[in-house]
Amino acid sequence: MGMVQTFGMWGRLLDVDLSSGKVAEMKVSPVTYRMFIGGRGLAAHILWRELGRRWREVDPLGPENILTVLTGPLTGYYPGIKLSISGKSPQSGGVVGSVVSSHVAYAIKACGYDGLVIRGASRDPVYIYVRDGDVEVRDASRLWGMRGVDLIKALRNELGRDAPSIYIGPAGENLVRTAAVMARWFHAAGYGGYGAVMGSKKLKAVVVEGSGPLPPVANKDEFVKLRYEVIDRVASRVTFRRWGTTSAIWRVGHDTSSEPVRNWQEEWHNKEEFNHVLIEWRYWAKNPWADWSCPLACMKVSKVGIGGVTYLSDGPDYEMGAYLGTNLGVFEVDKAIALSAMADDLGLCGIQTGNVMGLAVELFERGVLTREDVGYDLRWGDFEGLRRLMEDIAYRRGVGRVLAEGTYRAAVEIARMKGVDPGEVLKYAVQVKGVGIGAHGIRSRKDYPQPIAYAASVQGGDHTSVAGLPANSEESESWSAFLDSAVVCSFTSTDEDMMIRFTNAVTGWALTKEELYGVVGPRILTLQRVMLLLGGPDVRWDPRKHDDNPPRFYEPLPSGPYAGSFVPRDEVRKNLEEYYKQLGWDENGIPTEDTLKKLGLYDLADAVREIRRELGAG
Amino acid sequence: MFCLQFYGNLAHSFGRTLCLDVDRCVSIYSLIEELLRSKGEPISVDELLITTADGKQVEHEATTCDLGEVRVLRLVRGG
Repeated sequence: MGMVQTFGMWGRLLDVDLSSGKVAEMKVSPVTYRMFIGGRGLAAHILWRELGRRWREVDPLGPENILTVLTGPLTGYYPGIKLSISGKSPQSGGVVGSVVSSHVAYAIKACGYDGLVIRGASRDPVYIYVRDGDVEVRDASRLWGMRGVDLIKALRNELGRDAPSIYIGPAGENLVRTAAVMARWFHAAGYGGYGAVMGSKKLKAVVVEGSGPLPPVANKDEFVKLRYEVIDRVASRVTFRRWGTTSAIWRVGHDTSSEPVRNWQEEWHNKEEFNHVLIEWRYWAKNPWADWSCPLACMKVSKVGIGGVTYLSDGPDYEMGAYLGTNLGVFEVDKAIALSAMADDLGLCGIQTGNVMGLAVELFERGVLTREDVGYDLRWGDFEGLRRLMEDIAYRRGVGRVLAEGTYRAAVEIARMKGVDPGEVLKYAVQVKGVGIGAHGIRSRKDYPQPIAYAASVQGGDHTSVAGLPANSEESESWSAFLDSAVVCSFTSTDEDMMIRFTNAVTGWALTKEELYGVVGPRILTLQRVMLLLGGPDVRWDPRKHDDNPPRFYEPLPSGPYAGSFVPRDEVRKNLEEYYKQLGWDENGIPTEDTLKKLGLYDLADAVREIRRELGAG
Repeated sequence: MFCLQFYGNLAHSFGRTLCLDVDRCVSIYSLIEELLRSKGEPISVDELLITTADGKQVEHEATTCDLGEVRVLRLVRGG
């Protein structure tokens, strides 16, 4: 297996060029891991190093983009199994660190590598097959066009066994910007739109089988002790274990009043039939179900039949139940499950797709989109119309061609089609910087996201990477950046003291809380922030305008126990200024040169000067 | 005196710091659960992360006699 570069990691990545078919090895130094940890942080570092100088010109759906598939130092050691997927995002134009539960993560490490860097584009459909030290780029012509379930069966037939894989469905092939990188039927790296990036490279799947050991850890006794402690703690989360996130379909909608309902026109519902107890009783075919090494086991498999078709889905988990249920006015559980199963099979991110579908239905209701535009009627809760719309998006048919561009670009295009000011359509678009907002609202103030959660996030509307004050606590986006870089599931994560001790036991580092919040977290966020503000080629974000909430979040909640609640604009502005200050960014949220020096990111100085110059801010 | 430091939106509901006169040793988790109930907060103590000032999770058996101050945060951020 060669020499260990740093404990917990091998120090090398597979560098696969799909244009030439060449495979090389990319070394990652211990210093780089110490600075960027792994996963999301390492992805941002690689992308900046390889593409930074021409970042604005890089088409996320062109061969020059790089797709990263990375593990982190805690992969294989910390309970739960996640894989980091990143690249230049076709949604934000920046870097989104997306994660997916996947056995591919430990398989990569068991092959003696820490991840894959995939560049170029194949002319014909291919899949990458890695087995221990061998890498093949294989023909995938017969797999192209397949949906998720059929693809998994076909790969199983071809390989003679179930092998860990990540893959795309038709949506990714058709370069739909809301396409996800999928794993094991139901899991999705949805944020960022990397399913479309795989599609642009004609890459149908990555299959990895590893039989080797994981790299050694620095302090085995401490690691074993902490691992048992974490397993005990996580397994004791009995409510989560029993219900997964499905219980939030009722709790977030009814109790905290922060669930999207009909494109966020409301955030509350009292539909008692739309709840986890009913789902468990009627539809769960398997509970609990876990991925490798996960003591939480929050997955549940649902099975429903509608119109002679059987649909299998995970949960639905909260985000799917919300975005493909309440957000579309669907309050019949079986239909929400069916839409969730469809999104998985088509390879669509249920959040981003449910977000743009909600926009479409509201625009239809308001008469902005018409039957002539769509070809059929769009109505809240109309399963047949919504099913058809989702397929149209996945295959870019009819109005689906426009909606496949994702919420922000679709809103701008619809405004152009209708000859109205973009703001007239964007006011119904619930997104930040090209990324549809996850199903956790901010107006009631009873859920976890703060008023600047999305406005200041370097990943736009990503509900798993929210910004917050104070910047030196778990409320900060630095915490998410750390978990996504160590590559840990946020549901199995524990307190900061434990996470830091665990990381140090595996890596041999002497990471401290002060370093995490003062240097490492801000370093990753600052790097992502600069690439987000550079953007391009078709989007450019002005922080004075786009570091903000969607207009809808400034409207008072119309219903529920917190009716009348809204987030005051002056509070958002004040909190943004404080957040920028705590991260060492200027009053416009642009990192200062002193901050770049402190974080060891001075190679960003020219880019930052360019951004500041364009804003007329010195 | 036993003090609670609230973070995020919990601070919006309770204020950043809440100090209580507690005249006997009571379970910290039960105390917080009671506080949530009395304020009608739509969250259960299971959804919270209660830590010491240095970020270490408070044991379920801990009482107000063991610690003078705790931090109260959301445990689950996502889902």
